Order: sequence, then structure tokens, then C-alpha cells
Amino acid sequence: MGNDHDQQQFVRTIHDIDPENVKAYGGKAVGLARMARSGVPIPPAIVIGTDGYHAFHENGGVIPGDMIEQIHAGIGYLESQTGREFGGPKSPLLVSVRSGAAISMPGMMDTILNLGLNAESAFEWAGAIGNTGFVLDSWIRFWGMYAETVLDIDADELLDALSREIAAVETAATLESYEALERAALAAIGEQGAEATADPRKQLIKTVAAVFGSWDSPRAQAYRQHHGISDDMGTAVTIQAMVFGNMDDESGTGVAFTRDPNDGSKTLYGEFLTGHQGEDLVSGTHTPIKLSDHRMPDDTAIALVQHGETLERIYRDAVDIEFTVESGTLYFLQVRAAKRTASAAVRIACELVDEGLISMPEAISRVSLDQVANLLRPGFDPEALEKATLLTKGLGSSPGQAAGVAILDSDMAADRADQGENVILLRPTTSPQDIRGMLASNGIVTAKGGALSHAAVVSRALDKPCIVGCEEIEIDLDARTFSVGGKTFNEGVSISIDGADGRVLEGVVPISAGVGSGEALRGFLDMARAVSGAEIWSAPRGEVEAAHAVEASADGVGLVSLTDLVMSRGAMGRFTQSISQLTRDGVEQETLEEISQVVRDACLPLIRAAIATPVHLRLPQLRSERARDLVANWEDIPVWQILPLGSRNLIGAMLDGIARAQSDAGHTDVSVVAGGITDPSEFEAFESDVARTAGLGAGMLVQNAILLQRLAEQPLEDRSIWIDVNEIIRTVHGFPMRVMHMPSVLDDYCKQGLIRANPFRDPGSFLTKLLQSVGRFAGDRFGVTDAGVFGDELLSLLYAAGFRRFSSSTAAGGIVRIKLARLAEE
Amino acid sequence: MTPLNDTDFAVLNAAHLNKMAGPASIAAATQLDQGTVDEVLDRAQQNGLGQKTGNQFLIFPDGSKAVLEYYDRTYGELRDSDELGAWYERFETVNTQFIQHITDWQNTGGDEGVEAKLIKTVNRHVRAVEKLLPQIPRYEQYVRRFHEAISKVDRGETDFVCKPTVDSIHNIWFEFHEDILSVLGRPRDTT
Repeated sequence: MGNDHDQQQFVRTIHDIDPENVKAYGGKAVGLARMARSGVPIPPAIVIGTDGYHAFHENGGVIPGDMIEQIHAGIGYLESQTGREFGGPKSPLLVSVRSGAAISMPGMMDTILNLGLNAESAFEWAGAIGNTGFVLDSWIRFWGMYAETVLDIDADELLDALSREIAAVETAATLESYEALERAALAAIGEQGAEATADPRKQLIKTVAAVFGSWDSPRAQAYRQHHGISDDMGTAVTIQAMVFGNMDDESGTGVAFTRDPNDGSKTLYGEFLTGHQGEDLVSGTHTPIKLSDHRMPDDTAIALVQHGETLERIYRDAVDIEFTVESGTLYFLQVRAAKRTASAAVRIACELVDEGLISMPEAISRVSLDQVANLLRPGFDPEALEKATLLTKGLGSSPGQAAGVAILDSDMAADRADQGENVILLRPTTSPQDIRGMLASNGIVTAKGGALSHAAVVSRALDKPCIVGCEEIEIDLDARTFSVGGKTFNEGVSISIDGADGRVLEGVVPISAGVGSGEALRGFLDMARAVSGAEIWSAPRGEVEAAHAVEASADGVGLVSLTDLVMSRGAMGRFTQSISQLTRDGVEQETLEEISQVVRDACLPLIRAAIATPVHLRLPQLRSERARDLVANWEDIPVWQILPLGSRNLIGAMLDGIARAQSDAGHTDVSVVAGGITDPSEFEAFESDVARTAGLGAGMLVQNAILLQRLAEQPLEDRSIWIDVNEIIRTVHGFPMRVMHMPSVLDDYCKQGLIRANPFRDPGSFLTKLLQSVGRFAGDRFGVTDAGVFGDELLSLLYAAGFRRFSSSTAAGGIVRIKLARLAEE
Repeated sequence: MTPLNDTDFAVLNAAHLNKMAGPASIAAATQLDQGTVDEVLDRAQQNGLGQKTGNQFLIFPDGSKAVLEYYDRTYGELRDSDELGAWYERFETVNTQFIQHITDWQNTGGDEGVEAKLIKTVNRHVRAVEKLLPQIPRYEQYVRRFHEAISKVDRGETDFVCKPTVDSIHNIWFEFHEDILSVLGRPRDTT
């Protein structure tokens, strides 16, 4: 490209630029340059660097004359590369124009396609290739994009105004009808107060100016200001020759994925449509062939696979590729990191690590927390699901499974949910007025509406299961009933729903956490553990969850509440009755034996399910609110006995029961954890009790600030110590227990300016310092409990403090693991 | 019952259109000062039109009735206007596009290209709403709210696309839709 020596060079060919210099040429041009350097075939292209933007800016928002000359020279290069003529008849060169900054941002100008036609060349070209429809469509498309993005005129309005002239070309494609269309377009644009030209060269210069101008659009400026991006960076402009897949029988267009976006497997996936343009592929008016069917010409398929591998190395990720074959020549038009499902994302991340393309921390960052949450989502118990009766089927529009009572209006749904019930909101349709009920419900079903309905959109945003368009359901709001297939149900009857496949089932199908975690996910979670170096323990509520936790490679099972286990066996009555007797009548061997038996029976299944994994069980505390509710004569228990080690014989009986369960299960690593204590000497006493019981380990649960402080001063090394951070924060602040069930309450309280910060997010300097000093000794024996309910801030504080053992509910364990791995990277 | 004045209507309409609204969010949506909003809500509660519960104001059916009566009274004449009817027809087209974009945005996990189309559609809608300002001046609040939500989305706060618990584009859009239907006297079919 000729130019004087003393002239600044604004325009370069893609082959000439430094593929590492994103700052000078923008992400898009650099991407093309890398492809070109690696031998990936792309249509010829030129780029105006960001220094061009600066010259434009300094010249008062007008493109300087020498740059215009260089652009025309660049077009000359594209003409020579393609053998076509810009603005010329028969075989015109059409180009695309794209903005390209180092960072993509909102407000920047969109792509303009098909620039280069006028009435004469459109007419001639249509005649030459015998395809008026295609040429007219390309030209109309150009006018729409040009009007909308360069001239800021509503494209739909413009095309409406041209409908008569467009129809005229369709019926009689004469030079006159093309010219009439061009005149009408110019007139309609003029009426809107914009200046229009039919000359492609002038259109091109105006488009380049519009790209530069869009850098200073209010939206782009606001974005840069917010993100601290300098206004001086400027944008580049890429101009590329268009290629066409509808030229002849040896042409076509397609989209290819280097890995299957559904399951992530490494096989060429995608579609190809012979003799057509990309739009036809998108519109679905023609049936493409699948790349997996091997019906595409061999050399094209081989080239796709080979270049696909090259591109994966450049992008260090699975990519999707838009490609066109023009008269037998393959061109790559656009390449980007491929969209993928959650399970494909996990598999691809793991395999890219195996292939040495990315590091483990990078792999963790490639899968979003939402995607992991999606894969770990609790699901119907498969056995129970098989037995369930199908009520009806609708359109599954937000995935997930839920069960609850069917409630027919939103206010009632909110009320019932407030009372602790699981609710499925069943409505004819929903509107914004239903939002309270939708928020309170576990799932939503509507009789009418499609995938675009309010219910579907809002449910997806709330990540709640939703089924719409259950046409068979008729709702009678006055009678408070609904009927399906001749059967009538009262409001309040239990139903279960699957928001993925649209099934509505009778009754409650039990839901359990940790179902369906596949092989790839397991590998991914293992990788997260390696990155974070932290153990994740699972706190299951029973043996089924414990088995899932072990299967999902939990590092330990704990802290498991003994009270929960007794309750799940339905033995709470026997248990509390014995405790009442013990505290009232003193030591009776028979009562102790009864307690030991209840505890043994309650623990055995769980200990058995976690046979190869350490198990930590937490003893109940007589001082707790729960004991107060459950034990009949709680008020009569002597105060001394409700102190942490006030009932040594009760503790002894429970230890005995746990030891028997351990021995009967053949387990070798069960520990018993005591809470509520305030002094290390209490713990020593507890340890000696445990030592008298064969085979059990002892641990303590730190639940108050005083013990935390003592621990900071005198670390008990080599002991199993769990820190109940939430309880410590609560008691230090004196918050009532109920606050723990509604974490958002304190956020609202804080928002009103009543407290400085929500202490469950930022516990303040007193506790932060204590936690940090204890964290220093944490090693691998100190853990924190209930990490699944921590906000990100608290989790980050504890990880930074040095804690490397975290316990959480089975459902939240996977997410905690990923979050910790991400913290490790920071 | 005395008919609502303009301020009463602005406050109660906000509660009527958004069942999650509370004193603070109503003040933000209407740009009335907090004292005025609190005073209107207190009076409404005394008259049995609604009830404050926690941070929220729950409007009762009588409250919604009073709001709809204001629409009937204020916009009765406007309902005969062909211009407004034609405006609404165009809105329905844009509305379909908008919801399609929102759905695509959700299903593609927030694809940038889809987001750009979505914002373009919203901007087009905002320009159309601006044309109604001579007849319905209070619609300037929708224009302002849309602009605020769009600039948050631009900054990467994608909750403001369609999360129902913040003043997201989708929320504002749906409130507007309910509003314009009430102006036209054709409440949405929710039976």
C-alpha cells in the first residue's frame, strides 16, 4: 500500500500487524491476525489502528484527508486479493466494517455488513449470478444496518417506508426498479433529517467515522468511567471482504464447534448448508446436514478439524466457528469461545487441563458458580419418582424440581410459605402483582402462557422451577379448587413439579441433595480441592445424604447433629423422656442403658454409610433452645445440669451409644464433639470422659468469643476443633436466634443506616482479629462449621486467616469448594 | 371515599404495580420525598387501602380499586384517541421483541450480542414513551428508570436486566405495560 515516507500509516493489512498489539489494533483485528499467522484461512482484511482514532479526534471528529486516501488504497488491496471491484458491477466487492477496541464495551457501533452495493451494481450482480432475491436481501439488509447504526434512524421504519419499492424490485428486477428503490431510500433518510449518499466509498468513510464517534457515545463513556478505563485508548476499525456461501453448488455456510456443546466430548459438532448464506442457517428455513454425519466434502471437514485445533491452542478454549465455503474455498468468518451447557463446561475445563492447554485454577474460573449450582441442584429421589403418578404435563420453562402444596393465589402462597410450608404457586397466568407469591414459592405452574410468559421469565431470573401452559388444568378461584382430566383437587393438595420436562406429579416426591453428580463434575470438584488446599466436610441430616456425600468425595462427614439423627429415627420421644428421668431421678442404670440404645440405633446407619470417611458427631446441649422445646420438664432441670459438662452421666451414656454404633459398623474414625464450653479445662474433662470409651476421638465446638480468645492465647494443637463462626457472631452481638433464619433481615437493617455493616458479612475488628489469630494455628485440625451459609466476604476472611477445613450442608458443599478454589487464586 | 389526588395516585399506583414495593422504593420510583410518601401511605392505611408490613406496603383490593378509578377518571378522554390506540399497537410489536430478547438473554446465559439487541429495543421503547409525555407527563419516571437500569446493565450489573427484586429493565417494562393497559382501560387478563 503506497504512501509517502513522512506520512503516518493508519491503515494496514491484517497480515502486516503485530498480533500481540491489542492496544493498537483492537481485539477483533488481533484475533484475525493470529488466525492468519497460524494459517487459518480468513477473507482478506485491513485495519485502521487506534492512532487513526486519535487523528480523527484531533481533527475535530472528521477523518483527515490522508487517512481517507489510505482507506481507499486499502480497499484497492482487498480488490486485488479478491479479484473484485468495490462499487463495481457484475462481481462487486462487498465489505463488513467492525469496531474493535482493546476491551469490548456497550455503546460501541455494531457491525455493518454488505457495504459496497448501489442500484447499478446490485442490478448487474443479480443478473450475473441469477439471484435477485439474494442480492436484494443483501442490499436491504445493508440499508437497515446503515440507517440504524450510522445514521441513527429506526431501521424498521425505514424499511416500512420502502415496502412499495422493494415489492417492485421483487416483481420486476429492472435497473429502473433498483434505482427507484435507491431514490426512495435516500428520500426517506433525508426526511428524517439525516444526510444520505448512494456512493459506497462515501458510505464507507461515513461508517468509519461513525465507528470512531461511537467511542465517545454516552454509553461507552459511562462504561469506561465506571470501570476506570482511559478515554484515550480509542478504537480501531476492521474492514473485511465479504464472502458468500450461495455462489454455486460448491459453496455453503456452516457453524462448527470443536467440542460438542451439549456434553463437552471432543468431536466436531455443527451444521453445514450447501448453497446458502448464514442467515438461512439461522432462520431454519432449510435443513442443514450435521457435521457428525460426514456428508461434507472430506477436505473441508479435515481442514475444519485441523484449524479447529489450531484455534483451540490460540484461544486456549473450545471454540465455535462460523465458516463459509465460497466456490470450494473455505473461510473462517468468526471464532469465539464456544457457548456450552453446564455439564459440557465442566468436562471441557477438566479435559483442557489434561491436554495441557490451561492450568487448574484457570479451569476453575472457566465454569461459573451458577453452572456448578445447576449441576449440584437437588433432585427427585429416583425410586420415589418412578412410583409417582403423573397429573399433567406442560411446558418446562425453568429447570429444577420442587414439591409442595398447590396454592392458587399469591397472597395466600406468601402466607403459607411464611408459616414454613413448601408451596407451589398454581395460577392461570402470572403478572408483576404475583411477585410476592412467586418469591415465596418453591415452584410455579401456570395453566396458560408459553416460554415467553411473565411466569417463565421471572422464574428463570429467580432460578425457580416453573412449568407454563398446562392447558389441562382448570382453576376455579371461587371454589378454591383446580381440576385436571375430570378429577378435582382442593387448594392445598401436595404436588411435585419438574421444571425441565414439564411434568406435574401427584403428591410429594422427596427431594435429596447431591443426586446426579456425574464423573466429570467429580473430577472438577477434586481439582477445586487441589487448588484451594482446603478440606470440605459434609454435614448430612441422615444416612442417605451421608452416602451421597461420601460418593461426592467429601473429606469428612461432620458435624452431624446427634439430635437430628435421633429425630430422623422417630426416637425423640424415648430420648427426651429418658433425659427427663435422668435429670429428675438421678442415675438409674436402666435409663442410661435406654439412652445408649437410642443413640446407638440413631447413629449406626449413618456411620455405616460413611464407613471409609471420618465422622464427627455433635452432642446435644441441654441449655439449647431446641432442648427447651423438646424436653418436657425442662424448667425443672437443675441449672447445674444444663451447664456444658453438668450431666456427665448423660454424656457418658451418649458416648457409650456412639461407641457401640462405631464398633457395630466396623468404623475406625468416629469423633464426638462437645459444644457450649468456655474453658480449655472443660475440654480436658470431656477428653478424659471420651478416653474412657473405647475407640472414639474427642473434639470441641467453639461457640463463644471467650473460648475463641482463650484458644488464640493458648492454641490446643493436634485437637479436632470446630469453630461455629455464625453462633459466635450472633452471641457477641446478642442477636436473637431467629435472625439466623433470615440473613437478609440484617442487610435491610444495615441499608437503613441502623448498623455500620451486617456482622455476618463483616464481623468487625474485634472478631476479625480473634479469628485471624486462631487461623494462624489452624493447620489441618481446625475447621469452621456451616460454611455454606457464609457470605463471600466471611468465607474469604476465614480462608485468608488460614482455615483449611470447612463443613457445610451436603447441598452447599460443592459451591463452597469452588468458591475456596477461586479465593486461592486471588 | 374521596378520589385520589395526583400525589396519592403516584404513591399508591407504585404499590399497585409492584407488590414488593415499600416506602423507600416507592419514593425512589416516584421521586417524591420520603416524608410525603410516608404520609400518603399512613393515610391509606387508616382508610383501609393497604397496610405496612416490615419494609413493604401491601395494597388491599380497595386500594387497587381507588387506583383504577383514578385511571378511569383521568384518562377517560384519552382512551378515544386513535393516536394512542395506534401507539399501543406498535408497542405490542416491540413488546413481543423485548420478551423474546429477554428469553434469549436468559437462555444464552447473558450473551453480549443478545444484550446489545435487548438494550437497543429498550432504547427504542424509551423514545416511544417520550412521545407520550405531553399527554401523560408522569411517564417521565419510566424514562428515567429505564435509563438508570440500562446504565447499570452497561456497567456489568446484569441483575438489572430481569431480576424481579431490583428495579430491573424487565420489572420496569412490565410495570409500564400494566400502567398503559390501565390508561387504556383494558386491564390484563389474569383470570
